[in-house]
Amino acid sequence: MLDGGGEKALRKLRKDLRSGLYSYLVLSLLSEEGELHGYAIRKRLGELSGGKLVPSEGALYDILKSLKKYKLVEDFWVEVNGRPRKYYRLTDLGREVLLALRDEIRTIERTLMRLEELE
Amino acid sequence: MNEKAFEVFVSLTLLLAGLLTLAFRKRRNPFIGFRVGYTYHSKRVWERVNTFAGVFSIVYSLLLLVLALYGVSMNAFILVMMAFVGAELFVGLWMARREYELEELSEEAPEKPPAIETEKQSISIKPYILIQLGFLAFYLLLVALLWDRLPESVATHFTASGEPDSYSSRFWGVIGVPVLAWLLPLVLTIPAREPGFFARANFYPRSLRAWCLFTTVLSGGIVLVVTLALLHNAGLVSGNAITYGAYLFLGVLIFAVYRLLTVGKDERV
Repeated sequence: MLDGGGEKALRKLRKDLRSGLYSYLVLSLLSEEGELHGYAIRKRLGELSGGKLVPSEGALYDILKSLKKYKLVEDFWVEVNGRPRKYYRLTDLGREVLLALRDEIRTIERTLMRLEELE
Repeated sequence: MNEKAFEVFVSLTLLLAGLLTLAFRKRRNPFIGFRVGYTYHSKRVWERVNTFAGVFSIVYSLLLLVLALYGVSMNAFILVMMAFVGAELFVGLWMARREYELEELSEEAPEKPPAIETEKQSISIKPYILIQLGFLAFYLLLVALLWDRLPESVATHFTASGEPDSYSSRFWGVIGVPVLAWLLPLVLTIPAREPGFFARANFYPRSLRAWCLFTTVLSGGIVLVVTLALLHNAGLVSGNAITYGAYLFLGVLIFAVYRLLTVGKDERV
């Protein structure tokens, strides 16, 4: 059990860790699935992580906005049952950036494994 | 009606609009409130945006009422009013879009876009914006060429028979007012980038291109009328030319409204 200060630090570090990770996960998901609705992105992340990595709607909104700003994803509207719904897909630039990020993730994985071996 | 009475009337009208907007903030309807696609399609967005618009309208209409009673000039009153109305529109639209998109992330939808409707529904507004900028460039070029021929005080409003009945300073009359009037259709064109701006209801435009055509015709008409007023102030045309120009503009505008209301969603405009 962590005390108040520990809880606060954990929340801060978890937030930092997840903010970058969510962007990577969203890019990976769109790379695998093609076009997806925003709700489906949250749902899939929840399914894949056993409910542990589900960004809030506000967090996902900011992530998608930031990915759009860097032209890594694009959105488009489709009318479904008379209501405009927004879908997202990866751009070519997003695919390239994702490949580069994957190398980073592999490096992080290897480093973590080596660290565990040291224990 | 004198200036003060007019300003008080406008302030009270805006106050009433604000009170009605606030009163209908929980009841979506096609007549009262901040009505765009985003608010019309979502109860949550309707309530949040109309609460903001209602409160904001009440606050600035009371401020306008104070200015009117204090006796500010008509020009200052109109500028302050336009700044508030513009800010309300800007913030309201920004808020509506953000809230709608936030709600999108928590409202279940088909995971993939339905195959039959995968066509991208946005349109490019660039040609329409360029045409409207061209109208303005043409007008400002004429202003530059005729500047020295214009009197210090220019006619800015005319009776139905083409007689001037309102005057203003040269800068405000040939640049300030025309540019502000030209901005209106331009601002109305920009939301067509977002299909979510328009509600999927019968009384809303069914074709975004028809909407852009409508705003571009409106822009052309405004530039036609202010150009004729400019030529009149430079002593090149009679007041009757402005009357004929205004009738021509109204005729084309009626046709554009007809097309706007009758054109099919996928029909070429």
